[in-house]
Amino acid sequence: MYNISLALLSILLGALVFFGTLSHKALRIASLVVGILSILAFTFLYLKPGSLEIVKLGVFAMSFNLTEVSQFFLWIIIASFILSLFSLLHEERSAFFYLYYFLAFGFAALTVMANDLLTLYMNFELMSLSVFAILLLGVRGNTKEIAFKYMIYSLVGAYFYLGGLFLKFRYSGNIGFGPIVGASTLTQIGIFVLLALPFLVKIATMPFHNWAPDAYYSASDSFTVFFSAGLSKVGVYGLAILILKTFTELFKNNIYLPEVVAWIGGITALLGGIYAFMSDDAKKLLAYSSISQLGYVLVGLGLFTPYSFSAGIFHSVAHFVFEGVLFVTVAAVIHRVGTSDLRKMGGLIKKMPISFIGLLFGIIAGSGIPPTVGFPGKWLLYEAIIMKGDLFLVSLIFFASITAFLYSYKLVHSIFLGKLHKEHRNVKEAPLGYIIATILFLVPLIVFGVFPGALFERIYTFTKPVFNHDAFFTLNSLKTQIGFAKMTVAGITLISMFVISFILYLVSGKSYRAKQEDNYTAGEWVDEDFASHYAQEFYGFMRKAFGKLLDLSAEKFWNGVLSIFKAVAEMTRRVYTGDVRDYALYLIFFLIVLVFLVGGRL
Amino acid sequence: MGLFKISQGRSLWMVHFCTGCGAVEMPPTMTSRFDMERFGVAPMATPRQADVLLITGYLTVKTLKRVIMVYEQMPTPKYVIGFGSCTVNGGIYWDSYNVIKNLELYIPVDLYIFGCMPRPESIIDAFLKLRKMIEEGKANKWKDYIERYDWYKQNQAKLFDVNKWRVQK
Amino acid sequence: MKILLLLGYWILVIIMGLLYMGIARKVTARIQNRYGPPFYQAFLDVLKLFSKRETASHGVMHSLGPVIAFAGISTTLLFLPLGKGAPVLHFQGDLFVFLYLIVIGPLGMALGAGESNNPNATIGIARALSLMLGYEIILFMATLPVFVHFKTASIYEVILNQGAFPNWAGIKFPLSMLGGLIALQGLLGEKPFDQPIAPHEIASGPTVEYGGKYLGLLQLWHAVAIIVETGLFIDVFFGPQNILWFFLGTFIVFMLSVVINAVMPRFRIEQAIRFYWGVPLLLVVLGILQYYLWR
Repeated sequence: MYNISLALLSILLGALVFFGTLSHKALRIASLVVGILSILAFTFLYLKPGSLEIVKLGVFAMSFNLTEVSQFFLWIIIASFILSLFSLLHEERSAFFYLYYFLAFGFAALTVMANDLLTLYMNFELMSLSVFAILLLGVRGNTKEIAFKYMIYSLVGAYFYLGGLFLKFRYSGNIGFGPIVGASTLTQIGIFVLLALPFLVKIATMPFHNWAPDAYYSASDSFTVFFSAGLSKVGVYGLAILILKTFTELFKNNIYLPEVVAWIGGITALLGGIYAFMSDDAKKLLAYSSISQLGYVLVGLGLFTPYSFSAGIFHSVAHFVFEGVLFVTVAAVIHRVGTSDLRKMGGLIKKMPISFIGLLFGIIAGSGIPPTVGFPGKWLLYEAIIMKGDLFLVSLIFFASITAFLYSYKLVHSIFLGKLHKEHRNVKEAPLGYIIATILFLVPLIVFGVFPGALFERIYTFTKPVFNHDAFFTLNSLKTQIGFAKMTVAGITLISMFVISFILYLVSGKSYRAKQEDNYTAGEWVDEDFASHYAQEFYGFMRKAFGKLLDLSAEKFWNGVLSIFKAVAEMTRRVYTGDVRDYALYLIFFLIVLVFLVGGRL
Repeated sequence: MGLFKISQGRSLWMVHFCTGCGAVEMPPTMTSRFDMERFGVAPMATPRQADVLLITGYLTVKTLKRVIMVYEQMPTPKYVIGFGSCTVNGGIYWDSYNVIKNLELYIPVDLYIFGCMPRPESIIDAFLKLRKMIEEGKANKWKDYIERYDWYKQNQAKLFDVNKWRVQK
Repeated sequence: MKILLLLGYWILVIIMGLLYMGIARKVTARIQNRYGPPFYQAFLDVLKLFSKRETASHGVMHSLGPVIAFAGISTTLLFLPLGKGAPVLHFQGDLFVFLYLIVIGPLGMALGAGESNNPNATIGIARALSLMLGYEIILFMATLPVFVHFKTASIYEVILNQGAFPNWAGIKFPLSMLGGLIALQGLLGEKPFDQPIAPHEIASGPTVEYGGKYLGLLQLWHAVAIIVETGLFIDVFFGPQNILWFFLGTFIVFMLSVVINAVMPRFRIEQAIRFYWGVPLLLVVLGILQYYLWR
């Protein structure tokens, strides 16, 4: 029982922090530190890959196995959990919050260790339930409604999954991850859609994404770090398992399914980016950015070529790194400033320089600039799509990646650049926990960007058996049939050019530091109340450019579906009139119909 | 270095700041007929990017405050050209109560152009003369503003509140 | 040594870029029926800007903006082959490395300009980024059929596969080339797409608080950017066989855009973005369909 004791450990630690919070503030922080250290110790000392463990609960038996894929994703979940705990050190929440936090982690870990579809389902549901409880304890917005919305989306996905599970059992006779035999292609596609649905909801693919911006906005800021960087990987894991193990033949032979899945991912990436730069709230902007980046992962996984699949998995790790650092720095800013509205912040680079550097590297990686971690996944994905010959898809992805520049700049400008408002003059740098988390996130951001081969080695171990392809990477370079990219050369050239232009800058003239108000105002005198920060309606002119496209709303679509159900229910409700004479009439009509149908044989 | 002086003389960027009625002679100088761009002179949008400030025409106290702000925002080395007879001694507004008669008390002036208004040919002649002064190293009045800063501020203080209308350094 | 050769190319491109800028001013002047400054005017401007004694700066990020911009465009230059004989660093990175490195320049500039605490600067940057949504996709879709036709993603391979006159990709894919040309006008920031600079509306946009040596670095950035941007277009569609043809090609393309710049007014920003999604998008989509038909 080695690996699943991680879940038992997390339950124990949750209880420890629960009681610690109830007693004293110092005990809360101490118990959180104990939690971080014990999970780290467990991960490095006690995890045993490849061992099959079975837990019997009455009639059901849950089986767990730490395979290559599982281990890969488990590391991501543990890393994101630990880093989010660092930033959680400074927030004060109720005791139950911490309990559910650890429970969510424990069940997420169990979910990626699951060895058959039913175990996956049970732990996935328990994880969603813990997240629901955490969302109920959110900090802003209409928490009850938002938590309820999250639960509804998760539950609908889960019920469809159950349907797919039953169908798989009917055709293959087992509920493991093996392939389905004896079903027609159409049935297999149907089962795939049913089984993939909860994971698509978790990755917030359009049009099932409506819970995500609200949930990220309302949840506690440190939890959003774990939510976005860690828990969404459970969705990626589910899809990866389904595509790699269960539906391999279907994806290999069918020409339409990979295209449809990839296009859904592409449209998610594009629309996520567009809604991101139209947002006015820092957390909603990051939520849409997360949706957009996970769209690339879906394209990679769905296209089912060896390069695109590896690119998709790599980009999900990249997503963990840069979304993590973005959410941590934004959490630090919100902690100090007290608001998440982008229109009210500005100029914080003078007060919080370390958080600025974290956010800067986060958006550089999110935009996919070499040599950060965001680049190799995108590069490989482009090469894969071009090799497959899908020119319109690659144009869609490229368009989506340009929107990344827009929302990245809006985020960094509205928070850190520009004019420092009067009420923020006494803002201090972020507390130590956030700084540690930021620095720890920055390490893989650079290291995996310059040496992507380290990650691709691990990914190769589980893509080779399925695709049977040659290694396309070395430690610091990637090579496909049509292109080549060496990360270290890009990095070294960039740094040397920076040094040269910095020298050029130093040898010429002096400069003096001008105050904020010493600015080009056409010679007019201004004081510090002068409105010189451009934050309202940042991309307002895009509304005229996009026009009707922004009116598309999945939320309106689902509300429409809901009102159809309501109308039908309204009509059928009228059967129950409450009048006995009507019921007697129904009985007589039923007997008459029965006589007509069965008449001769009575 | 000599090369730097030559380049400063042959690439004068002026602030597009029209103070008085003399400014009406700027557009003909800039456009196709008289074309000052062939001497390297170009109008620039902001004082941060400019070298030469033209005081075009009469200067009132109200405009003087803004001129001081613009002048102090320009990067050194910078030059001032007094444009028109009003900058020399008040011109046709010599008996008005709020026109500055002696410009040298408030900002250092390198060159004056006579005329009411001066024709574009005179303006171009002035720029060429300024170029010669720069190449010979004689256009140094901006250093005078730094050295005698207090004296200039004292003179300005007699007209307006210098604590408000200055660039805080 | 390879490093000296790379530095030599870099300095050559800076000199040619400044030369192009000077000649552009002369050509604009002649169109406007006047003489115009001497062709070496851009060198004088840059020297004057670097000789400024004391300039204002609004902080570390503000000062570093032009430095990062210039470093970014110089790095991008080293990944662009200057014709067949000058492969520079092409063995280490292909088209997508190039396309993502070219973003570092505007990003550094955007960070620096944002720190100037002047709304004009930020409006300029917001417009520049939004305009990117228009022309980048057109440029990408225009170059796609050429790359897929030669089954490579490396710009140098594309040059090698083209030869003398009739073998140019621009002749084989004329619609894509036209679309790319229109996108290039936006990439260069020439009218009718110079909304980010727009001297009359937003007081020169991002450069509003930059003077002296910062503006000097930005002029150098513009010089290298001209060569890099027109260079990409020439390399992909015309495959110059040596460095002289490369410079001749970029010169002709740049003068074409300067001539359009001299006679056209400026679009509004939403007109400019929507324009790109009209006829240019149609041209490049037809270009891609042409590739599919030929396959």
